[in-house]
Amino acid sequence: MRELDDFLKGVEEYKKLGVNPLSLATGCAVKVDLVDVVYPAISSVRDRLREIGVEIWPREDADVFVTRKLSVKRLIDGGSFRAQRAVSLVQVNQRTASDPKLFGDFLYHVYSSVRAGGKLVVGKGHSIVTAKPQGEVAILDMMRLEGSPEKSYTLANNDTIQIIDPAEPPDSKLHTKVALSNSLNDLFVKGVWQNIRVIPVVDSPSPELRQRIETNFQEFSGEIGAELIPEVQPEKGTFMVGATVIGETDHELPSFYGEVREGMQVLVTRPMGELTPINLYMWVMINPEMLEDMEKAGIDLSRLKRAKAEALRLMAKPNLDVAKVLYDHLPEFGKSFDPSVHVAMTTDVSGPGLMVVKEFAERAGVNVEIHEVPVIDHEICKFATENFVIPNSTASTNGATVIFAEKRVIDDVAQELRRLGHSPQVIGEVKGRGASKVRVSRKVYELIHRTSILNQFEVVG
Amino acid sequence: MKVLDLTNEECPIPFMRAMAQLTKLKAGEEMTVITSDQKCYDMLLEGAKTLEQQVLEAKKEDGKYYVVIRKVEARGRKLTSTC
Repeated sequence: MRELDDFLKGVEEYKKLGVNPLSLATGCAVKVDLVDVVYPAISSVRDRLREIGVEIWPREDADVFVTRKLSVKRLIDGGSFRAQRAVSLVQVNQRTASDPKLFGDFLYHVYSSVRAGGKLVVGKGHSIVTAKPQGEVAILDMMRLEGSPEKSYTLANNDTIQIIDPAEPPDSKLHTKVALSNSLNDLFVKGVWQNIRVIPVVDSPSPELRQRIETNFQEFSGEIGAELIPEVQPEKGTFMVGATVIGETDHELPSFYGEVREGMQVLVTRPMGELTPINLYMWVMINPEMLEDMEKAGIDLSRLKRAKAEALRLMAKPNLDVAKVLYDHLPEFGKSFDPSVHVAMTTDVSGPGLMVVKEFAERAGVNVEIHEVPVIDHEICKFATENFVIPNSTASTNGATVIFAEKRVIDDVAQELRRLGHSPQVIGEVKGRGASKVRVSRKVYELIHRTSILNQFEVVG
Repeated sequence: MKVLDLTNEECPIPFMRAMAQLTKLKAGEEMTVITSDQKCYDMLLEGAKTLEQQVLEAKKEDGKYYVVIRKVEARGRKLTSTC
């Protein structure tokens, strides 16, 4: 079967680079576990780091601060640069990634090797795992703030991807687009799109491959009107593609959690669950019997490939339009929230999928009823769930934006997005203040089988 | 009892093959998975736990890892093969 041969050839190509694409399809850790390792490690070294002037905020979304004149310099494994804030990316081997003590020691060693000329706040951290024992590295993008505060916020974020689709070569523009769009999404979801700057993070076993990926970053940054800031890169010979991104907004951010009210609607800007057709494709390639079962269930390979292509198209498309529409529905910097014209709260559909609605219901202290869970292809998601391919088939990368607002605002936002070629859909409604219950229909069992997630919902019907 | 000897397969293929096989079992049926890779062994145990499947035995013997899993219906829903 030509399809299978090509697939296995692609997998082998990546394995030569030290990355196994199938690991992604099985949910193998590419990030250091936050609960079991990162947070305990930070707790254990927090006091010692404070003594040397370093404060780590263990947040997952973008760092936010009031805009001042900004200078950025990247330090790799330590160095000197006078700065008040930093965005960090650490890559550790599997041994360090599995032990909070070792990970804490690694963090302390990194930050004690940095001279920032005063207190340094690490506002956003990202920690990934490499299979290469000697591939450990710490990349700190140091930010020096000078001059008077402006009537604007600056957001900084970083992210990386490993492999999305082994059918695509390592220097594929698609992978670079997904990596950059994924990092930008934490800015776009807040309505932040002004003065975007991109600082790529690229490591590669070969200089030629590195050069091609850096060229992709140049091209794609130009396409979205972002400024590319060239910086030093890690040289560990691992395969790493990602970016630190910085943006500004002269509007307020959509985090009016106390303003979320009964009757507000919940809208997603497009279907969720991009990871499902990609993962299922890999599983049916490895398990020919599963391919037969899938065909018996009425899903042929060409349909799966169409769904996968659509997922990749969505993941590679930056949510810039969404950011601009949100910006238009937010108060100017320092002005008050008006529920009749403004969006109250937003989040992006990331790894937890539909679970993000629960997280934000908790932030707002409201109950929510979800009546629809749009995915790219429901039958494919259902099959993937039933066959243990993915524990949560609503999971995304660079996913849709979830928006909470009054109906008239939602109507306006949806109309704007449709005009721009998007497929927004109202999926639910806020049922009032309460214990942050999220009610969903039993149909959710067709999409999620991870009990720890299902237990977070009130399943009815 | 079904025995899946996947000692010649590299991680994560044993995990993928075992999970695919699990869907074919009826509730109460058991299978033994054998792998030579500790990571895959850990993944199998984690996967079984996530899916609320019963691990009857998990051991290392002569450099091989053995996991015996019994298929159980997940709480609140039915997990079945689509065949």
